[in-house]
Amino acid sequence: MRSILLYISLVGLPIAGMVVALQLGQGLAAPASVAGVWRVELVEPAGGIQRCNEATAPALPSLQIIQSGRRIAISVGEEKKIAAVGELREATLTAAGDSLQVNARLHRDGDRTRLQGFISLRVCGNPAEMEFHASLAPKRETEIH
Amino acid sequence: MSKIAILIMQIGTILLASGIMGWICKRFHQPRVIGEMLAGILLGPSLLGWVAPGFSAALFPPSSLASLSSLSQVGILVYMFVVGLELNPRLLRDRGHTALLISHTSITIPAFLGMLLAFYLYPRLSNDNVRFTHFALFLAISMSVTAFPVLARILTERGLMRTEVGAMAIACAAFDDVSAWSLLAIVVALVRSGHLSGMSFWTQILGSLAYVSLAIFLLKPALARILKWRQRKGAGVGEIAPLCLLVAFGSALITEGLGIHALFGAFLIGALMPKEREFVQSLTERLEGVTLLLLPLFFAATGLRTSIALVSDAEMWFYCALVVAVAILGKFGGAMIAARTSGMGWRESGAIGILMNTRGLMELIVLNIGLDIGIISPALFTILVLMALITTFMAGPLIELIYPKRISDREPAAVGAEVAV
Repeated sequence: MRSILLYISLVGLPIAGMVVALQLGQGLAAPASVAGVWRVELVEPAGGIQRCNEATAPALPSLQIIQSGRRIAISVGEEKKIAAVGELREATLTAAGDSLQVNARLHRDGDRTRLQGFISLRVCGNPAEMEFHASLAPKRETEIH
Repeated sequence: MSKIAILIMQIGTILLASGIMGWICKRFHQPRVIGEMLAGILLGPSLLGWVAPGFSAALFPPSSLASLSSLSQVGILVYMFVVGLELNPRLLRDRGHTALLISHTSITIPAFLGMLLAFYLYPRLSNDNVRFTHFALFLAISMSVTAFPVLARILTERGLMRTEVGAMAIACAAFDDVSAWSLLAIVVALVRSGHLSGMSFWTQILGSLAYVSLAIFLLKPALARILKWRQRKGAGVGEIAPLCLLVAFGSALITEGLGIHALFGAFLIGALMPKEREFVQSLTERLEGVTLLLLPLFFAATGLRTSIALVSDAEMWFYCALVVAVAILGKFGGAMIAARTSGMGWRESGAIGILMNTRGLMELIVLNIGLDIGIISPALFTILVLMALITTFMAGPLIELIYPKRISDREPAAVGAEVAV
């Protein structure tokens, strides 16, 4: 009898607790997903970029966003080094680093695969702010291997 | 540099770093595997990528990582087969209802606490692409894992395998592994069902149940007969090992196709292999060469995905401390309370709690799966990797403190406490 009581209290109760926790947790909300590789298109180079010749103009093929909840870390292209860190508040994303600043919003019509805003990075040694649009690249195979 | 040259350089560097760290850990009376785990992290962005980014980028260019990852996955497949091979249902049967209670409690209490933790962490470290159910179940599993193989090595190295405490811990860890992998297969099926596997959840689960039944009732006796026949014909373990690996890889292909992950198939075949001590020991020794070479690659592949920079501020370190505290409280506390209420002494109960709290490599395998299928974020992955390291690292010194050799030597030898390591 003691064994049964012990088993119920040490095994049965936690299992019941897990069932309740799973039910209650359905109401929780997590931040919108922005993780992935974003293909960037500059709308119109501005500021310092126009003073540079084409060869030195920045190539900005993609931004990789690593997301952990609200926290955002951004790296440029295939670079592993994190260029800027910041956060996502509702649909607004802000991140800053030594050489990169991003201030953007998810698309107004609720399309979460499109981002628009301003990006600031060093061009010819000077900070230059540019307007950009970005679209989320299709996810690579997420399987293990 | 050609792809093969880069791969050779990578393997050389990884083996060198693992060897050095393994040697250092041995000096501090820690299992070599902890050194290998640390070496993997040191080679990633957390240290090498931070102090020498140019060298790190040249040694581990993103385009080369697929080869390294594939090689390491083959190593993990072989390793999971060996883990299954070392499991022996007799271990649990011989220990009666106490082992049953401890093993069940050391799963349910950490799993429950893991789910409570999920309440707090889901809005903070997840995103709305991940369903709460998947996140909570995964966190529950990652809290309840025990590293059966690392535990077996700790017990052997400290001469505890034949004590009642050691035998009880290894029996419970064996059961925990089977439970954790079964639960993980369900979670992977849940996440992959539909868009990733092209199958519904129930098709995956029913298909998997059908395959497991087939393996238990047809494949297991067939394997036993074939191996006996080969042994009668004079085949040594060198000839039998490739056959066993062939079956394990075939099974891995089937479970991968069913959407519950290749590792489960390899583990299943290992668990269904005949359990004669000599056979298990010689086959394990034969395959150890493969895992010795390929496991450090897995640790390096894990280290390359672990970035301490993502756990950079006080808030993130608070989450990290919370995860570690919950993991220890659940596993150590759960196992200790169960052992104590079953009539064991405080010291023995504490020792069982410490041993069951060892997570090691098994946790890293589970975490990599979670990151691959997108259930956990890179920062949470890093936090959980740190938790695995800390809980594995603390086992040795704490067991020495609570259950020193002078006390364990006084205990009569336990019955049925045999495992090939």
